[in-house]
Amino acid sequence: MVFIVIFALLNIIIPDKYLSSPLRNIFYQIISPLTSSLYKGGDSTSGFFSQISEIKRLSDEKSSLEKEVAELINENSKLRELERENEILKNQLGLKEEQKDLEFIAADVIGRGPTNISNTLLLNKGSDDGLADGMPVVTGSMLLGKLTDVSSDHSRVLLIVDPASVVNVMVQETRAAGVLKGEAGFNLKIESVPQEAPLKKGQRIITSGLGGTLPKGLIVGEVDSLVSSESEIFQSARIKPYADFNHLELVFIIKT
Amino acid sequence: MPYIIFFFLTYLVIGFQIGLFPAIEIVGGMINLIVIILISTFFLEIEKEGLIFSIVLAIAFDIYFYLPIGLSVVAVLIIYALLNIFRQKIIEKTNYFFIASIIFAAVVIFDLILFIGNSIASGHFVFERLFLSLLPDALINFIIAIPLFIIIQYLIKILAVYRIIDVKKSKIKVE
Repeated sequence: MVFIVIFALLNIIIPDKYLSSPLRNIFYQIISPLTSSLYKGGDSTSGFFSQISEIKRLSDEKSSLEKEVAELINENSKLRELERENEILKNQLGLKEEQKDLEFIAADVIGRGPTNISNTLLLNKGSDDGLADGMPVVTGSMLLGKLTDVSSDHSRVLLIVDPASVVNVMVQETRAAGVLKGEAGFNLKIESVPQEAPLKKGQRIITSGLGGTLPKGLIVGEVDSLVSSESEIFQSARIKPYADFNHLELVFIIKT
Repeated sequence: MPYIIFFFLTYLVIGFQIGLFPAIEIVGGMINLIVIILISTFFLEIEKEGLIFSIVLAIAFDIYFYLPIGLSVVAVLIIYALLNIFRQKIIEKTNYFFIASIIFAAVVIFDLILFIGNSIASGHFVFERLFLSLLPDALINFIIAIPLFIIIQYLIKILAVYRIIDVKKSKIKVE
């Protein structure tokens, strides 16, 4: 007991990098082989149960998606033409595609924080692999969160759905800027969007690149429902995230 | 040999608490072995061993989830102190439902302490998070309390047979 009290006091006095951080590294090296396999086992089990309940919803969704696919194939061919045209114009202007310059590092999800404490993920890559605090974490081109604690061989991601998370975003269609905040219960909310560009259900939200910490154009989600009234100076709305934060196994970190 | 088995058991329990249970949260509720072991061992009258085990588990919990180290230990000690204060009343009426109810209350205390401590450390007081997780947490532990209590009781018997822990004959009869 005395040892614990002394340790707790030392923990307050001594900076994190000299006591807590090395301790965490040692602890992670010992425990992560077991926890990562238990996490994966648990994740697939919970995934199995949620899949059963989703079967009905999926069959309904299938028929509407088939119709949507036919429309998208048509739209895709048009977009390919536009992309080609755009490429030629960009080359003529001497512009580069930002995404091509980005370097991605793959990492395994080895655990997650309890939701009553924080919405976080634990990754098996750290500063030894070139990771640093603040780097964005994605799956596909969908933003998941930012690295908040990076140790030598593991790191922690603060998910965008965590109430402590704030991200500069914009509406892809209207280019109206806003601030994306996480809410308890895996929810997202966009705030501070000017009334001049009315928010509509289904509009896609992407990162704006403001502040320089996140690259521009990472997909976040779409507008689900409006929260603010027309009399307010700024608009706010609930956002439906595209990423499935519950079942993540492999993620990518963008080196910025 | 006893130490090896004890170490292996601790390693496994820590693995379950920090690796498996956060991954299988049910509507935001997570099984809390720290509290369940503390309460179960209190009722089985091997409270000192149970307290040490819970503290080890609590330290691992803090380290793994980037909580202020010692916060969960404070929660464990407060619950243990409360159990001691009400010891006489607790011993008088003991049945499975009562144990589950005590675990329900202890999980609420544990979550509240963690919420306050973590909010002070991080500077973010998100009460919504507490409201969303407190009841599911307490309920899931209330439901799982009895099966786990029986497993712990059985494990202690095995450990006692192999003289890994020294168990006095329990005065409390759980029905």
